[in-house]
Amino acid sequence: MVPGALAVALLTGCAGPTLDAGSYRQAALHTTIDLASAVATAELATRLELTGRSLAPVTSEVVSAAEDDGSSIAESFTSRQPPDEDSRALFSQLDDVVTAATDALTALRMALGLGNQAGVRQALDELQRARAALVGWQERLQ
Amino acid sequence: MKKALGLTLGVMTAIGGFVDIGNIVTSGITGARYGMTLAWAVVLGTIAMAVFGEMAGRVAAVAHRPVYHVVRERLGVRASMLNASSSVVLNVLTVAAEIGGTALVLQLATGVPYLLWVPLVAAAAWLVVWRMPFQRMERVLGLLGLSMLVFVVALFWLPTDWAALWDQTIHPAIPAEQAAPTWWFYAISLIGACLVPYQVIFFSSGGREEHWSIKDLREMRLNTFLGFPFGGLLSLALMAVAVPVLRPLGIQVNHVGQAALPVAVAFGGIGLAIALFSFLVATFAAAAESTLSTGYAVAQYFGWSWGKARPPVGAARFQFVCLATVVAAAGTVLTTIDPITITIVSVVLGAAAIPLTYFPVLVVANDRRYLGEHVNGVVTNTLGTVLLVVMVVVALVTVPLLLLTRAGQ
Amino acid sequence: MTDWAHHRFTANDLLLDRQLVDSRGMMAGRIDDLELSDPEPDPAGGGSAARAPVLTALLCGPIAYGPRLGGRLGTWWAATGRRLRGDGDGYPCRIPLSLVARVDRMQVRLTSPRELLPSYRLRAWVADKVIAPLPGSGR
Repeated sequence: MVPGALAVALLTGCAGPTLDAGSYRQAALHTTIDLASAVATAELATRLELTGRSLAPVTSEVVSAAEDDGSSIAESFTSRQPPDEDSRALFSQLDDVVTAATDALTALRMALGLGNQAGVRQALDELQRARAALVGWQERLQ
Repeated sequence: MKKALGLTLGVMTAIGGFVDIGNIVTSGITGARYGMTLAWAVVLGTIAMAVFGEMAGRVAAVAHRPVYHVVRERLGVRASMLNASSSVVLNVLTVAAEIGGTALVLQLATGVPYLLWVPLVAAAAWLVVWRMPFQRMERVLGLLGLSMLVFVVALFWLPTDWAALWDQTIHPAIPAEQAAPTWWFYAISLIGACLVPYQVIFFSSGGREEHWSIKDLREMRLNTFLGFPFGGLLSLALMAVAVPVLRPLGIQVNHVGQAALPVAVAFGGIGLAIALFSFLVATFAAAAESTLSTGYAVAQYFGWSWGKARPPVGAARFQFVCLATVVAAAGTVLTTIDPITITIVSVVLGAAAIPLTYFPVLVVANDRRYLGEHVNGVVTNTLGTVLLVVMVVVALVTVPLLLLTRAGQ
Repeated sequence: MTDWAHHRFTANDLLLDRQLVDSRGMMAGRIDDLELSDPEPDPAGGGSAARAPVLTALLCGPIAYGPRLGGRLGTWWAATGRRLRGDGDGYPCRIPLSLVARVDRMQVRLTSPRELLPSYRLRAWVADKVIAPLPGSGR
């Protein structure tokens, strides 16, 4: 996350313990938005590849970058301390979706690297489900 | 044909100088996130660039001096030192961003990590500065840069909702789900990406490299009033292609690759290859231009020989500054700071420094001793002053917005 | 002879920070400062009017430039210039007025090629030691 990296540089490197339940929710919302973006990017690049409308190195680069983005989003989500029990509950519900998304991104990158068509399609299905779940959470958190 | 070639300084400045990594990144981010609601910032930046570019070109043609060459005798040692040193610092950051951007595009196309490309890109940019004749440089890179038109053409192939795009453009409003400070932050980064200081340095010094005189004023004006708006148009196209493709999917642009995907949707692999090639040309041309501009700025401040017309030993210190710039910029990228981050920092700091870097142009363009009857008219002065006042406001709010929005999060 | 002799002007108008151009039209630095001297004491014991200081040389280079910039940066600049000189001479590079051909608003033309000017040393060093050894430098 580019602006994130810059902010980290600016604000002495703390993704930081969140102060209250409201801002934890806000941070969770941002996690879903950013992660859905990474997932959608990988999906779009892969679908273009499958229909012969892309270039192989570009697809693999875009998917790897999306995977990297996904893991750093997941990492900062996990490292954030929930301020109360409700937030803790929110974390455990959302954590499944976040993990599913990052796992699917990794699976996609591996399948693409191996040229495993069936694996790619399966990973795409998982990504689509993960994105739907993330978008659902966005609406609930907004 | 000769006339068409004469336009290349404008076109190259437009492609390399105007549409560079800063525009690619900021246009991509804002198009995907805000649709066309920030198009006005590109329009404003383009108008300002054309107005100040015309002034600088006029000084170069009439007084036979690049505009920043005059700044020291006009504003004195200290004010001009502030002007020159801020230009140099921003230039080095810009060169770093462009070298990093070129390397990122090469990584996309080849899969070879960008850090390995950095030394090669830096060496190639330096070679262009070192040996390639000025006219050949601007013509080759200017013509190749026309490949970026693929983004304009793609707009007609994609399911573009023209009415909605137009509506967002002329009725800019902050999208409901987005925070206002962030929207303003990106407005400033778009303005900063249009008004990078090296552009005016390059345009007016380039005019001297091409020996402009009063009879070339018309050509120069064509360059500014066609070339810069052409660059603005390309920036808007980069923004607009994201709207039908990336925005509905909720894709935010964090990487150069994402900005090129809409062209793949429109034209497939060939389109994508052209798009990446145009990114490569634009960022590489900008790397060479901003390197040259650092040399121009320093050499002109101290009254040294400068320019590509003579062999490097004939302008030794100028070439030395260019070499040092490339080395410092490549070193900055090799620290592994994300080149996209460097880009955003450079355009935002550039926006904050606009009054410092562009105010002297207005002063010199009003000096009858240098320009005689060709000083600014009432219209140009009014426009220039209004734009500068806007830029002072921009400069004042930049840093608070940078901190408030955590750089656009 | 210079053609400024009969006009009044201020240093700021015509001299300070102006571009120096050598006899072949090459850029030769900028005027960073001016040297004024007491004329030689008149052996016949002339009046005080004859003792007004007159302009004798244009000064350039970091030792002249530093004090004009002022502050700590200026001091540092001038000190670096002195160190680069290496010969222990703390006086700026002089371009005697006899070398000045013509002065106009934008530049000061000299009668000598820049290679013969005292301010040429740093340039010569950069050209010979850094730029010339690189391939394609034109030497």
